[in-house]
Amino acid sequence: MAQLLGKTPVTLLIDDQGAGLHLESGELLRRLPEPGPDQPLRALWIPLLRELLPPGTEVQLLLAQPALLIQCQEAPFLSPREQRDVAARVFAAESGAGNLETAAALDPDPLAEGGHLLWLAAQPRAELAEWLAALQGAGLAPVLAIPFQRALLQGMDSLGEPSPDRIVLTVGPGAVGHLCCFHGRSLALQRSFTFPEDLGEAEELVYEEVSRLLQFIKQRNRELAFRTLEVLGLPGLSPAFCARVQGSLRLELRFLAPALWPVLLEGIRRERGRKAGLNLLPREFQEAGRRRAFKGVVWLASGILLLLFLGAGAFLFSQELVLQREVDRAELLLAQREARTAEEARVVEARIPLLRVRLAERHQGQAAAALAALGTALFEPPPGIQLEQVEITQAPGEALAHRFTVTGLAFTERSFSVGPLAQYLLALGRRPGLVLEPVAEASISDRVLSGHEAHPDQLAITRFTLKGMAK
Amino acid sequence: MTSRIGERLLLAGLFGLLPILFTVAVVLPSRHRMEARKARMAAIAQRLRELPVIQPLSPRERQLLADPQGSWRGRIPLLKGDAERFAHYHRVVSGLQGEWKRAGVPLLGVRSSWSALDGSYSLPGDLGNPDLGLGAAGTAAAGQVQGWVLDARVGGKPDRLFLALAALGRVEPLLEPVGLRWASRPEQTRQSLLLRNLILAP
Repeated sequence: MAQLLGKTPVTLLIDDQGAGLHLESGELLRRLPEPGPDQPLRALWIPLLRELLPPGTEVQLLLAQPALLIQCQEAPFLSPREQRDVAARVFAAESGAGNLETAAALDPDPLAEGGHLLWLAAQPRAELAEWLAALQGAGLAPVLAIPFQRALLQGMDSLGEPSPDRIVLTVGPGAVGHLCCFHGRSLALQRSFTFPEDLGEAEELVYEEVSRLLQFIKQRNRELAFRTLEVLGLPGLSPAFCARVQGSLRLELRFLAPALWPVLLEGIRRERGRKAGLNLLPREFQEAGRRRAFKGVVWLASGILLLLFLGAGAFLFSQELVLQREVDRAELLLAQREARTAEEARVVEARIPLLRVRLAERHQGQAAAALAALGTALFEPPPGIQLEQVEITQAPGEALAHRFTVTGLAFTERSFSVGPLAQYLLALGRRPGLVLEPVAEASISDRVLSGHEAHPDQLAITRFTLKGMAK
Repeated sequence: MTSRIGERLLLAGLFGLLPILFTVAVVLPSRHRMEARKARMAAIAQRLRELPVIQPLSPRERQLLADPQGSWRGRIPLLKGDAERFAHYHRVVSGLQGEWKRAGVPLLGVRSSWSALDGSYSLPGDLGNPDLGLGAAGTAAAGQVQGWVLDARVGGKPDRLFLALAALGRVEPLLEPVGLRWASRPEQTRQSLLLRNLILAP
């Protein structure tokens, strides 16, 4: 029970009947005792409250006792500070400075001159201080002290569009009846009375109270004309009473809601939600509440900040881990590649002699083929050419190339001797990769070659030496 | 007033110092570590790029390398001393004559100059090839490749030269043809192939 209570605010209703603690549902938790003449209130309340409520429970004070003063004034826009100043001045003029705790709230009201209506409330400071001391002594947190009429007005806003001028009859907890006359957002008059248990007596009393109230209003302000009696907290009234009210008092009866408490709680909730609501709690209490709220926000923000930092730290840490795993994998891969490369290097070292032999064999084959091709070309002179000497040597260098020198004779037989030589040169020149140097030596002479005595008439012999290179 | 100052200090600490502390104590060191790791990754990638790509051995190469008596090992032998050098010279001349003889090419004589081995000589028609117990020459990855040239005189007509060239690949010591000489004189025709033999010197 205590834990459940700690989560929701409780309402301390103070009216003609005394003080009572009400739960969120409106159920009366406990009526608090009235102190004796020499008995301090806090001594009675604190142990009781400690027993009933867990520390830290928020308490809303709903004030409906006769000592509460309420005034409504038409006003231009005023800042919250100006509103408080007006309230202090107004009630100081009436009852002396320093005795009352005052508060004000400004409502926009199109019917009011200046466009706004200023609610002013005052509560004897000593009485309020005693209640608050008791609540604080029990470890509870007073968060709001609101007049009953203000909560009623705010709560009625949730019931639909109100009539501009209306009398509201409410019957609240403790069988206390209230008659409130509202002109727009202004509370024109209000009366409280004990609501009899017997419905007939109650109707008679209501009739009398309403009748007196109307007469009083007519005397004070003839411009006000009430056409509606709105009823809250009563499921219904007798048809005879309704007819009587409509006939004699010319008031139309409207039943707004069968239960008053939800309307009051809605009104309290609305007032608490306002930035500058009507709150009779001393400034230090309000500041404490605000500071508690501010601290709560700060701690919440700090928690979020810490969570964000933790999240960011975890993210960074995870990124580092991922990167570290990649580095580890890369290092492992590198180690494997280096080991494999070292192994391959050893294999390559073992392969070197074989590669060397294969290379030399390939070179040998190429050299043999090139030499054979060149030799074949050189050893196939045309008819009329007699070779004397052929010398082929490999040219130095990386590329395979051969220098050659051919010495021979060209005879004049069926044609002049230079002709076969020219044929030989042409044939050699057509070989791909074979480059002939300019012929440096070619002499034509008449002579009998030694050893060729069988041909003493041999004439016009061309002796030649050819040089060149084959690639 | 004091509590308000305390609250403001708390707020400043929470929303001012705490982010700075977080940045200094967590973000910057983490960033530093991550940059170091990225640098390490880049270095590893660079090293991986620098590693040479080596072609693995083919099965044929593995087979040849695994055979300690493979004939290829004697083609460019490692000669450690005069005995091995002389034995190699013996193998070159004997092998050349034997292989050419099988190809129908007569090796008439040789001229060579290889270190202290100077030669200019004629050869009989068949040297024979008795086993002198000289052993087979080996090879190695190390060693300096050197070459020496012998002038192998070939008998017959010029076509023998080309047959001799074709038969060179079958001689175990590797002989690369580097020249050809042919001269026809009234008294005789002389033809020879210049062959370079490769060896490894320690």
